[in-house]
Amino acid sequence: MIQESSESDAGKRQRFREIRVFLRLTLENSLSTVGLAIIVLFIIIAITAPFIVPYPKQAEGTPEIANQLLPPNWQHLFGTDELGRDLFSRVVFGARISLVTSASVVASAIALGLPLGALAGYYGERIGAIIMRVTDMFLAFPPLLLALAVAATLGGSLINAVLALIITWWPWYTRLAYGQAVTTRNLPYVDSARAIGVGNFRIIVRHILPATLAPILVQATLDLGSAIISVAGLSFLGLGAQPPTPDWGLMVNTGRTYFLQHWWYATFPGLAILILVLGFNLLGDAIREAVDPKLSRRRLI
Amino acid sequence: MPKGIWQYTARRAIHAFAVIVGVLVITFVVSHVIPGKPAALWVGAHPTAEQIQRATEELGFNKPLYEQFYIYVTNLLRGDLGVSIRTHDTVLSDVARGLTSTLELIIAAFVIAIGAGIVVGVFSASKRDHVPDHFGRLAAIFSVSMPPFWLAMIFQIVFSQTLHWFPLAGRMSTDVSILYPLKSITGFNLIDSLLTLNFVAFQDSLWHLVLPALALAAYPFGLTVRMVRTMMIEVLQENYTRSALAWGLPGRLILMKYALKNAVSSTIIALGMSFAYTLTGAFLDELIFVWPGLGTYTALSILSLDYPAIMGAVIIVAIFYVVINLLVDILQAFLDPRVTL
Repeated sequence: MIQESSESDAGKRQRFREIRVFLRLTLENSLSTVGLAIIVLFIIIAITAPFIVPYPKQAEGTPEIANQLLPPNWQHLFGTDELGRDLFSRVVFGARISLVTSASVVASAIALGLPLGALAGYYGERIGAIIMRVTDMFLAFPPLLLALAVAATLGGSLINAVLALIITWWPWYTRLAYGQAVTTRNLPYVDSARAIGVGNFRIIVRHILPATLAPILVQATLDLGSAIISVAGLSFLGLGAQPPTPDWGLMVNTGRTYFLQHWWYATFPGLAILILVLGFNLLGDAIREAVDPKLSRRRLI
Repeated sequence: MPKGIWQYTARRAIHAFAVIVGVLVITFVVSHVIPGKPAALWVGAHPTAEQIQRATEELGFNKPLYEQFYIYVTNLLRGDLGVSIRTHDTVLSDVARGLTSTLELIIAAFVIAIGAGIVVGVFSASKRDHVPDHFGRLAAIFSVSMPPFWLAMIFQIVFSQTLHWFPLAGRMSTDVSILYPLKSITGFNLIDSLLTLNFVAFQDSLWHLVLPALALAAYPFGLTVRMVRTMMIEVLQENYTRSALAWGLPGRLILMKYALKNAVSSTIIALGMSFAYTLTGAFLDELIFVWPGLGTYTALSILSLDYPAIMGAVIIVAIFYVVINLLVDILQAFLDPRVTL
């Protein structure tokens, strides 16, 4: 009797090789190493935040009115805000919020979009058409715009901002997974699986979904950066985190009132956003270039 | 004229129309169906029970959903987007007033982004993997990683507050707009001032435009550099480029005459991709530079919970965006016949 090999051993080995090449190319490229280092550094900072900041209480919102708006000095590396709180501590705590919110946005968008896209691509025909038409409608909006409308309807809070972004983000993954599923659907190994009577559900989970992994990974890395900017943008408009949450976007927003006289207030939280997003973009870009065969040919001029 | 282009255009137009219907369905769901207190949102920050009651009846929130949708769409077709709580003017006239001023800003940003983006992209590609290329790529990646609202504030501190090169905010200085009042013809300050030969106003408007346009140009600039660079690298590996080189044509000629042509279509793709981002980026950019456009209007509406204004602006910007996408697709089909195949 013919057995369904688990995603065909050859396929598995192939994927293994892909991942190894991935890693090698990624590490060889110095820019991507910088990107990876930035991300790891921010994750470590986020995890250890309560132990490394000088004023953990102030980071979570306790005011210290006597120290209002002090410029950066040795006690307060980034200065203090309008309630006398240490900005360094608050920016460090902000890393937790940014990483967690952007990861939840991207992970949920993938969890929602990936299966839908795989389903649509595998079945094609009517189900596929319906799913993709709905996806098109969502993709018709400029991304942040729909999130603005949803967040304004739900009311300003960090959770609502994350929800609003998930609602606007999943269609991008649906389209990506759809494209991959359509090309995989009729490959010989999928046909063989179908021929020996493997169920549709199993084919999708074991054969279609793994094939979408590489492009999704690239997209997710880049999207983590965009999600950070989007969450910060919503917070900046008052539709995200509410005071006294140490959110970067919110800090830049509050700092806007004071920044012409007190430059440090808005500068440091914004710099934190820039550096972390830069990390994700450097890494994502390097991976993309590594997997794009058109760019890896030798050059002449 | 490429074959089949009219069929393609018609097909894309029908598709765009279907998408606009979809946009209306989604905005309807967001503003009417999402659980919450829709009627309370429509009347503003501190609604009384009577106000909510009246809004419920006027907007038909007590009717079945399909009837609500009918009311919603017919109101939109009549151009009735409701009345702004903050400005007490109809949302449609508010939005129309802001649109040209936002367009002026976006067009200026795109001109900067395309110009600088093509130059840096071509240069980067021609020196691939050497120092200039590293700088070019870094510049590109920095500009797409920049939080737009923060960049705008940094520009204000550096170029206005500290160096005094450019004005801090606004679209024109108060004294100029009083002494040399601008007659509104097209709504674009730069064009109007030239048409009326009002050079003082022209210079003043231009000076006010520089910082917000530069801040807004960051993202499309980065994207253009990336697309142009990638495209150029591909072209420089093609056989015909190799032949040209083998024939002994100078490298610069090949770069300018053969390779750059191909950069045009990738620039258009980059612009299409970054348009959405720039549009919403303009919301934050305008708010910071107090630029009297659609963005400031929407941002202030959000900050003051002016719900009809928010939804009206969202619908109009979304429809505008669909139309722009349609135009970009058609333009691309004209420039690159392979698209229609």
